Amino acid sequence: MPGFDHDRRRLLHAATGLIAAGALPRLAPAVAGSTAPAALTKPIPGSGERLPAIGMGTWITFNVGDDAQALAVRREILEAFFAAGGGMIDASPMYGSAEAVLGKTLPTDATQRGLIAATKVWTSDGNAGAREIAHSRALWGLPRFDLLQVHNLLAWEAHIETLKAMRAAGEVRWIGMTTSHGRRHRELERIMAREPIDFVQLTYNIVDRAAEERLLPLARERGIAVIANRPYRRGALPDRAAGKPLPGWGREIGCDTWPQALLTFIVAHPAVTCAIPATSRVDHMRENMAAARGPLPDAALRRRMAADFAKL
Amino acid sequence: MDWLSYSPADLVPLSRETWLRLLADYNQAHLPIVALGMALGLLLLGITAHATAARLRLALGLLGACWLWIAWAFFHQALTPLLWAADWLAWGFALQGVLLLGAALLPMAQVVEQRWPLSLAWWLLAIAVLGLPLAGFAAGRPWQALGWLGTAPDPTAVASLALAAMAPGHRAWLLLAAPALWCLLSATLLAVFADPLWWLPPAALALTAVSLARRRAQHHTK
Repeated sequence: MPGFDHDRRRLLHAATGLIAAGALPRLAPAVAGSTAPAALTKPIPGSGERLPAIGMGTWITFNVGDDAQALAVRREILEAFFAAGGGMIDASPMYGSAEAVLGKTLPTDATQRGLIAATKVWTSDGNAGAREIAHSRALWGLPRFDLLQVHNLLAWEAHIETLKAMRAAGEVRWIGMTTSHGRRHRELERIMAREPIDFVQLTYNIVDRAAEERLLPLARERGIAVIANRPYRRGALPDRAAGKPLPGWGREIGCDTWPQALLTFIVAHPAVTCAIPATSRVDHMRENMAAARGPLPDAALRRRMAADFAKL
Repeated sequence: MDWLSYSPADLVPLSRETWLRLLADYNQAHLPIVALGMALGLLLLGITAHATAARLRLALGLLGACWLWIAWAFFHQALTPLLWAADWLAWGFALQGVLLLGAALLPMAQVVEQRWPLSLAWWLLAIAVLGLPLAGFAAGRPWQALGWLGTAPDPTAVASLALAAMAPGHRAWLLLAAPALWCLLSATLLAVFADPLWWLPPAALALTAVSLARRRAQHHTK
């Protein structure tokens, strides 16, 4: 069928068989007792390990302090996330109380359920990185992070050395560099070409596609996993599509709503490993996690999706 | 860092809902102080209705204590966990508190003589004491999350603009800087939250400018 990624479909069929055979136990809870397809996973180029393609951001949505009611809702959101096979959760010391809130609301068995804990170093003091990371670790309540990133390239020359040393010592699995809003792409490109980083985080969505020109191809070439932030442009993209019907191709890729299509568009890019939408609503989390469960659109269909969205 | 490429929305890590819940929790936690602040607002309106130098100095001193309280209780204690810049704001508010206390201690010959600018400044104070909370309520804010003079930054900053506009000479300009800056910051914050009342702090600032310009014009025509 035109418009489908046949490799992806074959992989899904194979994965379904593996799940049935118990070879992929981590994916099993997502589909246990239902006929829903498993959450899409994509390989981390450096290790080959597979990562659920829909992760979770915490910017604004998890900065709720000690508010008991808001904390209860975050617990539900996380429960929905893990129940649907979610993996990566991304935060930063810049996000106010988000890390502390994660520490209070993550399920006690989050690691066993597939948590990939990612945070950032965000200090202009190049010597304060390790201290800040230790503080973040205490806030999350975790023995170690899976991924540590330098936030928005801030003092990256110093921090990258700290992160490399931590990776070498086994204190973190992967290290990376982040940017957002399309800023400092040239500098990021230089870092990607030069430094042995495992992940890069950048803004990529159906409207903000500057990364397609150089960064995403470079990521593939260098074997760097890509996390796409601002997948909804802080809610502006779903707002723009609100009340508008999803074109016929939505059904072909297993999407019921525009937000699901927006996420599917992102993770269908061969270089993108994971998208990290943030939400403060349980129903939106469930909707997010239902994305990218059908056949992925190929390049031609992705162009059509972008063109259709531009007309909204 | 390329700060200029950031929009205000990129730097504010909390939502309007969280902001209002923070205000509500803060009000509840400090209920007696909030009530004291409300009473203080009415007292300020009373003592500045017929302003004398001594009364204005008393008002400035009382308001200075309010700035110190807000620096400590609101910015440092309540907001710091949610906003990375809260401690910087706390220091700014503390500095303004010290300035106001200093202005209260220094001798003052007289308040502004011009009647019209003085009257406008008093009405601005009334807006700070009653107008801002009422506008918030009318705009749909929960009453628990309303900001009151003495304990919330917006009405306290607007009241400070009013008292500064009553103060004579250079003292007025010295006391204006921090509340004016806060009004602009607050408007930015509220605009990021898409709060319908984002225009109120700059409107208060504009009224202050009118009062100061009028008094300057009248001074030169004497």
